[in-house]
Amino acid sequence: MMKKYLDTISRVQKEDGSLLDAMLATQEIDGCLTEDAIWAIGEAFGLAVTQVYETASFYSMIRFAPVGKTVIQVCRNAPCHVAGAQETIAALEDALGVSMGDTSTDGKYTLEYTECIGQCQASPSVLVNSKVHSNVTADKVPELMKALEKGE
Amino acid sequence: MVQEMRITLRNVGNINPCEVNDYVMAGGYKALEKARSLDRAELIAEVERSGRLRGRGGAGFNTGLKWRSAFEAEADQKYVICNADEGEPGTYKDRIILENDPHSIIEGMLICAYTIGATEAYIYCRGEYRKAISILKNAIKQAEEKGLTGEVHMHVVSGAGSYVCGEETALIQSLEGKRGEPRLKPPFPTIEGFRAKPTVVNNVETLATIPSIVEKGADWFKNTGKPGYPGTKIFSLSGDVKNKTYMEVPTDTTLRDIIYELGGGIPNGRKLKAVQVGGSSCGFLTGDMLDTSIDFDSMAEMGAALGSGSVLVIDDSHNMVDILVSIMEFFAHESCGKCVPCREGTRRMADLIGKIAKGEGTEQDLELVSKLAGYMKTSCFCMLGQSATTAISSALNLFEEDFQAKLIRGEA
Amino acid sequence: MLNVSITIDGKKISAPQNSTILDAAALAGIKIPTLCYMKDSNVKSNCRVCLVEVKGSRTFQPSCSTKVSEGMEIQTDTPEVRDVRKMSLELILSNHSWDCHHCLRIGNYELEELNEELCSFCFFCDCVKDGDCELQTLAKEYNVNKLPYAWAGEPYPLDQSTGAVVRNPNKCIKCRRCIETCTDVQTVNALSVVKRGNKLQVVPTLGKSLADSPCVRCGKCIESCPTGAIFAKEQFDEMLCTIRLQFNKKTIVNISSKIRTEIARLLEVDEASLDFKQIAAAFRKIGIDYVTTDEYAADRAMEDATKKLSDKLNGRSNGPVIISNSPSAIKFFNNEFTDLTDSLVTYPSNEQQFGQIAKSEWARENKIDPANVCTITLSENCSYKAEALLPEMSTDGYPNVDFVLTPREIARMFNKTAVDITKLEPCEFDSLGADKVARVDSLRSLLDNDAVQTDGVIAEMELLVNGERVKAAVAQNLGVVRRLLELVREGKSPYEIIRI
Repeated sequence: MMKKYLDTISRVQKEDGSLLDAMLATQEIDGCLTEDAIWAIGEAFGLAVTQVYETASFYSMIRFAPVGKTVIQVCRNAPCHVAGAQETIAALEDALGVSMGDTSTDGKYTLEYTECIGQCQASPSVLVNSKVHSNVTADKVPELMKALEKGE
Repeated sequence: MVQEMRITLRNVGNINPCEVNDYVMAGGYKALEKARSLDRAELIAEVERSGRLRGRGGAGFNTGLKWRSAFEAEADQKYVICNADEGEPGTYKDRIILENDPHSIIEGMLICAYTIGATEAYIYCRGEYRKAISILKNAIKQAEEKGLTGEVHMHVVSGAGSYVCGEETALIQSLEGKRGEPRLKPPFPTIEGFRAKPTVVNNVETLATIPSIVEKGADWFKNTGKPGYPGTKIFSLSGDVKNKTYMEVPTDTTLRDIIYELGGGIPNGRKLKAVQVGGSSCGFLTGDMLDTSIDFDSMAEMGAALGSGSVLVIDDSHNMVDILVSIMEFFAHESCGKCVPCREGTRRMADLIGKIAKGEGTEQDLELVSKLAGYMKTSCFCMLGQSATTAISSALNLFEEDFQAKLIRGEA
Repeated sequence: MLNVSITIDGKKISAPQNSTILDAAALAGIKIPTLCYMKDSNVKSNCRVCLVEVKGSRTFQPSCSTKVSEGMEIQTDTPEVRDVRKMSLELILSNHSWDCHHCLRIGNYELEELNEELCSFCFFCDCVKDGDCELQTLAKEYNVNKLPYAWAGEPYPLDQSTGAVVRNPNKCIKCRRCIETCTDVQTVNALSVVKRGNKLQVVPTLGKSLADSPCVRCGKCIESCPTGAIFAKEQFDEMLCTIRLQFNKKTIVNISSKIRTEIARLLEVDEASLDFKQIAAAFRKIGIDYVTTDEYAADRAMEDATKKLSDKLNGRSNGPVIISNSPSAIKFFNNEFTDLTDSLVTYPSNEQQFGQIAKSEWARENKIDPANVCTITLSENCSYKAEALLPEMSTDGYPNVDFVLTPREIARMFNKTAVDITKLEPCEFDSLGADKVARVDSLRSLLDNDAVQTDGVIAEMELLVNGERVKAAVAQNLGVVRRLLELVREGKSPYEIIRI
């Protein structure tokens, strides 16, 4: 169990990666950072597990619980708000059947907020499994849904 | 007719960012060669003489002074850090440089490293910019292969979702593998920074501008734009404006030029209500304030800020309180949680503004909002907390009627 | 040492160049309030209670971390400064439990509506730190009134997993004093701060319960906490129940004179005027059968230690001997240094020794069935509370020590039972065995905490053991224990005996 984590961490360290790089790479294995992964990181970096968790829990890109197969994140900051993000969120909640912050009962979709991702030239911005989708106004949601169903 | 002046952005769109030879053919790395032949103190003097290249991250600190401080510090190791943790809402100018001209940043960092005497350099890039991170890693590898990095060891490190890590001491903490909580200053990073050694932390745009200054000389830079804040500045437009794009203009350009000429004006037949320059941590400007030049000092004189150079255009279809909700939720989520005023204050403020926006707020709530804003401005540990309520104070000042309209008895 | 000239509250003073505003003000006799500040520890400046006005500065400056400079002009007590302090307190209290008598009412009343006298007798609210809480004291001083924010409630359950150290996250003000102590001083790393912003919380390792963390129950976090967020579990209610309801039980309390100072402080009496025999009287008044204070138990423990140490050194070929009767140090050792187990010698704590004696020879001498003896000790150190709960600390199925009470518990107990110690007639103590064994003095400087001499974190000494001169050390905190044991591991220990 620990071996798969230690292998990944070791690879990151060889490529000159930092603690955060190691955490981000390791969480890809299970879709979130498990307790065993935290122990592995502590061992590899010579840190007390208390400190590893203390640091990891600070960052919003690091997860501790698994999420849906497809994670949809909508930016809610001022530029996207001005461009109509509120309406986009309402349309997505409707289309996915999920409330903001929740995962669908079949585990397919998780709908979340994200803070500004630096794509304000094409707001409202939506991330689908970290891939940027631009200009997603409410009327573009059906198009996005079609793409999601096709698995894009 | 206002025109762009692409100095920092000279290569964007004109070269392949994944090919170092493109950069070299476009004149790249000549400045580095020149720098390495100059005396370090002379080099700093040149940067200082350029009319004080003021940091382009938002704080506007005198770059030459920062480099001089690190140069003069005595230590067995020094560090150069590029702050690529662009997180201010509305700002994407650094992403443009990172994705399209990574070598301009690398060259700037190498010049800095030579100047202060550092052999270790880090680019701390926000985790959400995965494309940029990959481009940077590739660019460094190519620069190393060409022998351009010399004795400087360069690293690219990923952030993991934290706006506060854009604050230089919080960035250093994060780079050290800790929580991104700002440190007490003094000691300043140029004396005691990364691993307690002298460290220069500079913004992407600042570093990308250095090669031009070194190559073309300080006088050339000093004579462009506004004297107290010379050169050019990159702006990123967003919101209710026809051309949501980025542009690089001399620092004596006006906001009116940026929004109406280069930006194409307000679409859908609406009128301008407000502009937020510098991101969510800055205040608003109204239509009658657009004719000042956008340099740091002129903006400050107006009670506004240049900040990162983001320009959010807001038309008259919006109630400002609704926009403030998204601003306060941002700060509540991004507060590091270390100090009482920010940890508790951002959440309480977000709740109060949310309550007012929903039409459930009272006059008392409004008074508390104003009081809390003033308190946070003067009590928080770092600039995040101190500027979290700037937008609210500004909106209360300029758009009181929007708040009043929402108070119990008004519209929802 | 260079000095600078500064002005504080209009007073011109000269202060050492590198001192903080807080220290400089203290020199001038000005006290600036603090909450997260802890002497001899990393300055954090996160509570913002110590903010002061510095001329020329746009923001208020934290006096705990801002260094003075020539010509600095400081105001520590203007209406504006008081206002920001009050706002910080209001924000903290809006997220804080309301079970101390100041705070329970302020949510609903203005201060002027409260009856001070009634408040001081009210037992309805039951925070252990009531009357001794730094936050409560500041709230009173700054007239924190009806809170302007919606109260956050008490969303977190208590963590009573260790049975000795209890955490109440609803009272935590996130000052991090406990974390500093646990991580930097004790190097136990059982506490941490997780998440960020308003969701930030102080939790044990990995967010689990304290019992599932490296916690050794040393209780240093309790000592550092300014509020009632971490406290020693109270057992006096259970004890009083035993006295009242279990008529077959004979209760015997052993009180070390070491707790005098703390008792006097908590009861707010002058220590010099407190006759120790009045404490004996107070215990008799609430129904305790026997009250002892002699050092017999401590001497017997020391006798045991001396023999074990001598035997261990005799049979030893290499490496120092590590000796301990501290339950938290032993637990710390067993958490991380089991490779050195061969070098470890343990002997009973004074508390356990007392319990063993009381339930054997003392019971027999006083013709009491040992099964009916209820033993109670008083200790400042919470680790003995945890020790008494360990299954191995029992004889024939009965715990050696039934209750370990802290000075705070005793003070609260006497308050609740309306016993005013200062008004009681002193009475004599009973004897545990004072007329027996002669005092064992040879290793007293090593084994008796009162005799150990140090002004730092290690006490060093030379002793004569088995006819040989040996170098010995006593570690004063667990961080030092870690350091010394790591040296032992590396074979570089400068001491032959280390007491942890």
